[in-house]
Amino acid sequence: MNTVDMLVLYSFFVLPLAAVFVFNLLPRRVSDKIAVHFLTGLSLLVLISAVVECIQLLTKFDYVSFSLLWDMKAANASFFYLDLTSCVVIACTALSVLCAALVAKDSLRPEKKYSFVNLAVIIMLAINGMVMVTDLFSFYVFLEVAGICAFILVALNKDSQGLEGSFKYFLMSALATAFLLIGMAFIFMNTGSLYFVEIQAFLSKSYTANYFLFQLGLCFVLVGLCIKAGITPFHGWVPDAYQSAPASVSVLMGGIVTKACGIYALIRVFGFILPDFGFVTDILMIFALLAICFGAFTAMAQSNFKRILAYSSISQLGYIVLAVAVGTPLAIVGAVLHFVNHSLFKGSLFVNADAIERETGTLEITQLGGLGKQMPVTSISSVLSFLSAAGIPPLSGFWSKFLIILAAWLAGFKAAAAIALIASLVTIAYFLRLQKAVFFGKSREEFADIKESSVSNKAAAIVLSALTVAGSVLIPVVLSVLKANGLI
Amino acid sequence: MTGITLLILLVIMVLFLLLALTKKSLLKSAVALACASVMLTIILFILAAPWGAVFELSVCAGLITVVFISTISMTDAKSKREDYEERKLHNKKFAPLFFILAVVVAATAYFLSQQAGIVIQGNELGYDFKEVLWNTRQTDIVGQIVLVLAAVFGITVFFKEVD
Repeated sequence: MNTVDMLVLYSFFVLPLAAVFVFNLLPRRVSDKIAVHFLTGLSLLVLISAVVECIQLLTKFDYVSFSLLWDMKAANASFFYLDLTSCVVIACTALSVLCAALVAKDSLRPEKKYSFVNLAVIIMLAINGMVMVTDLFSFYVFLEVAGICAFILVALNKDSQGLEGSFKYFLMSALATAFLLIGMAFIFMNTGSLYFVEIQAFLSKSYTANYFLFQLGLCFVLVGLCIKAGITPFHGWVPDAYQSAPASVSVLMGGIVTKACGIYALIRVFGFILPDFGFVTDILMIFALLAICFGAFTAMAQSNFKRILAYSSISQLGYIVLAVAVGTPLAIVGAVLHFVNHSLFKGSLFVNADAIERETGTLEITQLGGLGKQMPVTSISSVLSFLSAAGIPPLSGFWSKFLIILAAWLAGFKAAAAIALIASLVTIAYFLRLQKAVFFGKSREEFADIKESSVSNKAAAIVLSALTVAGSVLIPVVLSVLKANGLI
Repeated sequence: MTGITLLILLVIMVLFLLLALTKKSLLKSAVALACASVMLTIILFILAAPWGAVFELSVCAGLITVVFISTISMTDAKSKREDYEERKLHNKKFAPLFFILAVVVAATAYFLSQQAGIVIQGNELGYDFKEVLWNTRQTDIVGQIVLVLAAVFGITVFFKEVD
């Protein structure tokens, strides 16, 4: 491992960990004052490191395996491992934390910023750890840490709505934990190991008499991860948690936390470690199609901006699960790209929701209208994000959705591809309804004096929208590099 | 003999866990949880899993209990009205959770009793505790550090910050 690699890898873990300690050693008066700037600077550093490492990994098509604290001697030691997918998730996490920090600057109550910064850094640490570990148990530990921080953050303001959302999330999370632990126990009883490599080695041998136990373990893990991801039929906590959380927390939750805790885990376990796994494919396919349709149609019936985004998230995450179920290299590339795109456009839409709520005091779309003229940046950013979410070419969302639907079609899942395509039209419909109700039409008298949101909010919206537009050029380049190297 | 001992210990552990969930006093809940952890430690020792037992005893029975009790020391007693409201909510909210947990645990226990032959007995790798902790499970140490930090900030948000 060269010096650049070492520096970059330390910035994913040691830097945030050291930052938490330094931040808490400062006098409270100082840490309160610099809280948001501290988080912005830290997430920017991690983001730059992640982008540098992504480029290195993309050009070398390699992975980096390392011991973080000291060299381990045992042959089957648990260590950290970084490939392109993990690095992309780390970059998305840092970007979401950066945008959440920008939103928190003006929207979060001053006395809450200290806890927000601490918990956001720990979420970043937990997700970074989760994507780099090589065994299922460590994976679970980091997954839980991210979950714990998330439900504390949802209840950060300690208002009744926030506490209710957090409590629902906590209960579902506890249920997911039970499923995950029982599933892992079954897998361990059958394979004798929780290391990804050893589970794969077990599967490549002839199946044992207790193979049923292994399958059951996989089912438990699958259900646990689907609850964490909020995939239909386990989506009950998602709309309440998203709606009741403070604006900056919604950006973080919608941007990365739910996806990393559930969807990334599904991609890693069922896309990379156990691809093409018979009955799991069928279950995943059913969950995916349910989520795609249920999320899209329910979003049509909502009137609250954040609830529409929450149901839209369920639908969009369904596309990623569909890709994992299809399981071909093309589908997995589509899944990872849609993961990134969803972070960008959903993060941007939550930033827009914060701007609207702060200026107008409401998120009920029936009470809004004609805000496009007063809030041009928010309006344009929202339109770009919605076009990307609906898969309109040439924006970045088009490429990932196109790849997923194409991969499903080529793999013989033609009905699933058709359903996904039709649901995409429903996405256009509910987003058109949202845009029309909020930004277009006649201006309301009570909103005559409102103006564009704060500079930091605009900065977050512009960065995310610019990346959505840039994706339309960058994704074909990345795809051509992957194709040239025979990966798709 | 070991089977009966294990069964008795398991029953006592479940009883302590139920106490931890149902007791209204947070302090009694924390103590009941610590007792359940001690039972689990003994069970793990009997099942020849000393590393698990040591972790359970040090982290769950020891560290977590200290964190819980220090947190409880930061709280104030409730008024009678709040107490009544809380009790109503408490009973309603936890009833389905108990039911789901009981069904999951019973189904698992039944299933495992059917599959009794395949349980891995103890550890066959031959490392001692120190070697395992430092040479093979580095990620767990990092995970534990991050987990404790999350718990500390969670406590700060819910109990220490005044609105």
